[in-house]
Amino acid sequence: MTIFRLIMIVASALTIGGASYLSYNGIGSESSDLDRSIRVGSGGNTFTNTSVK
Amino acid sequence: MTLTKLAAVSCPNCGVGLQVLGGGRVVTHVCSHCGTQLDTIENYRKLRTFANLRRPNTPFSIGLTGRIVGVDWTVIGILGQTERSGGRTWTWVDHQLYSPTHGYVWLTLEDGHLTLTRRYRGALRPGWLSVMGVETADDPPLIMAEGTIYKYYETAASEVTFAEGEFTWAVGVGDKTTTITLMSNDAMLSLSETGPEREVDRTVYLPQAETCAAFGIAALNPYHMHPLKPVQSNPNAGFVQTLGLGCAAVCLILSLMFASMTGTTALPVQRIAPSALPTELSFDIDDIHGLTTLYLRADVDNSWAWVEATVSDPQGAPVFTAGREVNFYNGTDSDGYWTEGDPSTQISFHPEMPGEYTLELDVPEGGLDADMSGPRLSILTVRIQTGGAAPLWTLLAAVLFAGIGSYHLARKYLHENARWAGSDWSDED
Repeated sequence: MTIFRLIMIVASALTIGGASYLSYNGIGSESSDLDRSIRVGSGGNTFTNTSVK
Repeated sequence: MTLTKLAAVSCPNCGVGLQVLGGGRVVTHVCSHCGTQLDTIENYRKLRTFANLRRPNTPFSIGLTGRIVGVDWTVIGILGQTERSGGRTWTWVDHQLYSPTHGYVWLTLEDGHLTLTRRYRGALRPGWLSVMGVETADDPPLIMAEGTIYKYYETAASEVTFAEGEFTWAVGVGDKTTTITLMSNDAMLSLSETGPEREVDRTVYLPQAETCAAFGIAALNPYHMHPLKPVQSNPNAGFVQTLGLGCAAVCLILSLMFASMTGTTALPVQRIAPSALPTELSFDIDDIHGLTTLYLRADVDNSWAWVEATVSDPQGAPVFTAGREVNFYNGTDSDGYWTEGDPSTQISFHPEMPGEYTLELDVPEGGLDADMSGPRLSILTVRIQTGGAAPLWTLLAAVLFAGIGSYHLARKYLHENARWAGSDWSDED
């Protein structure tokens, strides 16, 4: 087996493993229209909330 | 590279010495110096002179020898060819090659591509294809030769513009030939008619670098796509294709699995009458991994409603507020029954801590179409699942792997399209 093929297999396994982890935990699939503004309270656990001052 | 040393004759017109390289089937010899055509059967009698010919650009010269597919060949004649059609001009150079053991073949140089053509003497089915036959055909004509199917490619009328050296027929500058070409996966069949004579030739693409090296010439720089050029092979192509498509299948299976993993029920289905709104519901989240999803459904009918949900964490701090419009319209028109809209909606979030959460629900607005006469629903249902998965990333991985696995297939498909791009067949004719 060539190095190229070995790298491809390892990279594929890592990709599937990483994608499975993210999917299993539902990362990135939370609703995007949640209002977490200061009126509501905490900025929550997302990185995208910029309305908390 | 060596020059074959055989007999020589003097041109009766200009006196220059001419090498005799071509064997017993040569019938004519065109002087390289003055362009005089000589009859080799009748003691090199002068026939006619082709004056002021423009020499085509080719690195091959008379007397050059080289090995092609295990056979030693000598260049004995050079023909410049031109085809003009629709205001465009195509030129190529045919080199007549001779081998004492294998006879005569053509080495053709076109757009920097080298091909080898030899007479085809096998059976054709059907036996011949005429220009009229092509023009009246509904589909691209096919010819079978030795179990291989050749599909119509083009009809070309070529003209000899330059001649030098020895040839197996009485070639003349200005001679015109109509050729119908058909192509298989790896070869071309050319059906030529010159006056009453019919010939069938078979052309294959040569290994370019090896052929140039065999004749001792510099590597050529091909341009344009030659229809016979094989797709560049990659020893890992099959492996990458199998790995990519296999991993894509695995990711799709995982995606189905994750799509079905909606988690455990934190709040069973609750049916809430509008009169009870706004209302508060409590639900427990023991394990904060995965998504917590609120499934909301309002039984709106030809109307809409604005549903607001506010979730607070176990410490009473608001986590988020979300508002969604649900609507559902239906009716019957000339096309039959129709529906539009969706009376259901989902809200997903990641809980940060385990404990008892609070959901506050309200439907503050609603109405018929654009009016805001108030929500028209009889029941709002809600249930909450926690610890759910989402197949987003495995689906993206499936797309990525499918792309990698399909690359080689797509490349072959595009190459095949490019091979046939030069065909003059049109379904509209």
